Amino acid sequence: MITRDVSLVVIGSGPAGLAAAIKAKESGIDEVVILERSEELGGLLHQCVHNGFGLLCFKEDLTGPEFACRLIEKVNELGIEYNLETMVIELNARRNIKAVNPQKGVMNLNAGAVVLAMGCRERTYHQVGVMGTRPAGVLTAGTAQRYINVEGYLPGKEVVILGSGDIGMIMARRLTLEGAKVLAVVEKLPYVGGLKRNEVQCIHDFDIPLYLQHTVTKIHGNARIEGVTMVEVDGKGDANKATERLIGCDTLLLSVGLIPENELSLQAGVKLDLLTNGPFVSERMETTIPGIFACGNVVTVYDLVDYVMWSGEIAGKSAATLVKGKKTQARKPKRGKESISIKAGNNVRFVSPQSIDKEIEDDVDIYIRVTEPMRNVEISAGDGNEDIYKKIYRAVTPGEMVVVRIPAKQLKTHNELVIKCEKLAWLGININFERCTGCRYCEAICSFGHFDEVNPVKSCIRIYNDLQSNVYFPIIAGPYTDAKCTSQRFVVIQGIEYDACALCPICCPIRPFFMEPGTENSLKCDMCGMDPMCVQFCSSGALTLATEKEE
Amino acid sequence: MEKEVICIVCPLGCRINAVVDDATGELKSILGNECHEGVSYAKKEVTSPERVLTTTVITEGSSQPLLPVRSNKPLPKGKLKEVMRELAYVKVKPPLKIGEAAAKNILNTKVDIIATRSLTT
Repeated sequence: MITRDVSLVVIGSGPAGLAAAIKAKESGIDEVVILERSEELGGLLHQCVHNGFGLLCFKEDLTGPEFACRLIEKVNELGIEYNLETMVIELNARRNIKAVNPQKGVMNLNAGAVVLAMGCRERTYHQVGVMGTRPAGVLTAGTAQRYINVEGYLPGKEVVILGSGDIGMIMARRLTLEGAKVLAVVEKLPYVGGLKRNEVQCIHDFDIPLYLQHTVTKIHGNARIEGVTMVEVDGKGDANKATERLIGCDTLLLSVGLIPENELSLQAGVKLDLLTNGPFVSERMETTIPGIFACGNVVTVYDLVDYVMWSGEIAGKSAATLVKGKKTQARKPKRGKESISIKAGNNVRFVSPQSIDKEIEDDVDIYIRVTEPMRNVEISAGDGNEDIYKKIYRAVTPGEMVVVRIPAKQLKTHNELVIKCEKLAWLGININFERCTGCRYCEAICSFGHFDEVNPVKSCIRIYNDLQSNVYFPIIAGPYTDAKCTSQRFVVIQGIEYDACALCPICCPIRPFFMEPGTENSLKCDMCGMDPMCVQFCSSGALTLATEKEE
Repeated sequence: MEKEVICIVCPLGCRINAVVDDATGELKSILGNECHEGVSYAKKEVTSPERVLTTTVITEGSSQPLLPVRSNKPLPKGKLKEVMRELAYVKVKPPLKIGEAAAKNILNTKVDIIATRSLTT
């Protein structure tokens, strides 16, 4: 039996584990050991042959294997030690690890710090309660993905997919491309669970039938699945028996959610958050047990590999700081009373990390998920008296995480932060005539932002001067409208014809002024993606982004 | 020709109604988009939609039964199935490095199908 002391052990070698190991090594820790249970590094990335990886962190559209390759190359370049086919069977709070490996047998590692990066597991039919028999041909979407993309087997020819998570939708496309027929993608909720781009590029592109507010209630068949019973569900999730219908199929794929894999964390005594199903972590990705860090999907199921990689980098860096601090006898004071807890408020399902240190130097990113799809919302973080963060979003959905960046400078006065998401009844640019100095900076920045030239006649905001009272007042071209009325006419904006109601220009004497010079095109304010430049650059405070919350 | 496009630029997911001139193939009118980004997206989607194809090809003489591949440029959306059928007959042999072509100029589209991981024996 091998027994040795190591500075840092990383359990799992998916994107989170590899990023943590790389960052720790780069931060000056020599002895980093990766333990991986499969026969190669990279985790699940190898079976995710689709693209869309690394858009944020590498600014490139990579596939899963390419993303893995970049990280693995780095690991080899830095000479990080890794053990494949190694299963960790024990982990305790003193960071003693027992692992088994076919070549080395049982290994005992005493680690200075541990990074948990075990990832997540798919929810199976046992956890969603589908009635009926248990024949062959019922499998999770990720298992099917491995069969098709790695092993080279097609699990079936006529497939029904239950759940519209990202893997489910991506598998619908893969199966169709490989010659199988996807008969239905069935989703209980009135909206799809995954990203919009997957709904469009995987479902609509291939004309796959998508049944929202439907579910599968029964599996038929003995040796092999022969069909499923599909039924409509109402808003409360109750099935309407009258709408039952049988779909004949030879395969049922389940894409009904992912659960962080925390058996080891529980063994070590790490406290789990029931909302994220992962450990409570601080902004340094440290769990409730000092010296044990967690990152990636073991903490909470992230949407994008970029978020996973960033969480890994933070964990790796913090673990390195801890290990180095121990050696130089200059350990940071323990966490505890000095930390601020972060809570999920209105319309927010969970937050991660759940606490941050009072003494942070850099801004901290908090990942949140909202409870339902909403439009025009304000996401804010505050202690009840004062908001230290506020941002307006035109749309949020539970399928896409929102990143809340907590400013470090304003943090110290708070004991608890609540992040909430509130619907806005109205939002627009508020104009305070009295404060306008007539500097016309807004005109310049608007035309520059939309047309790349400083030309006030191309701006969607104009400053008028009332000579009698000597008052300047800004006027904004009305925002986009798709109102339909009987007196329709076409308005051309940037070469494209828009349907627009013709009444407003008739009623308003100012509106015809907003025309692009030399053309017939009228100009309209598009709010610059909810962060209007005119408001940002208005130094006198005449223009403010105004919101009115729903009661 | 009228077409409904769901914009994927942001989470709003505007349902855009785009009308295309049948004779010229140009975008005639557009309705339902909430920002300028939707205009260029809808234009591309109704005139010449393109997608990057990612799939696998069969290997010969390697411990990996399959090699993951992608098109190095986006392919016309309508050609995806045809390209897939063509790739069913492609067999690759090691050694092949990541980024090297598994099939060149597939179906005369000037698009190469490249390996997304290295293939060893």
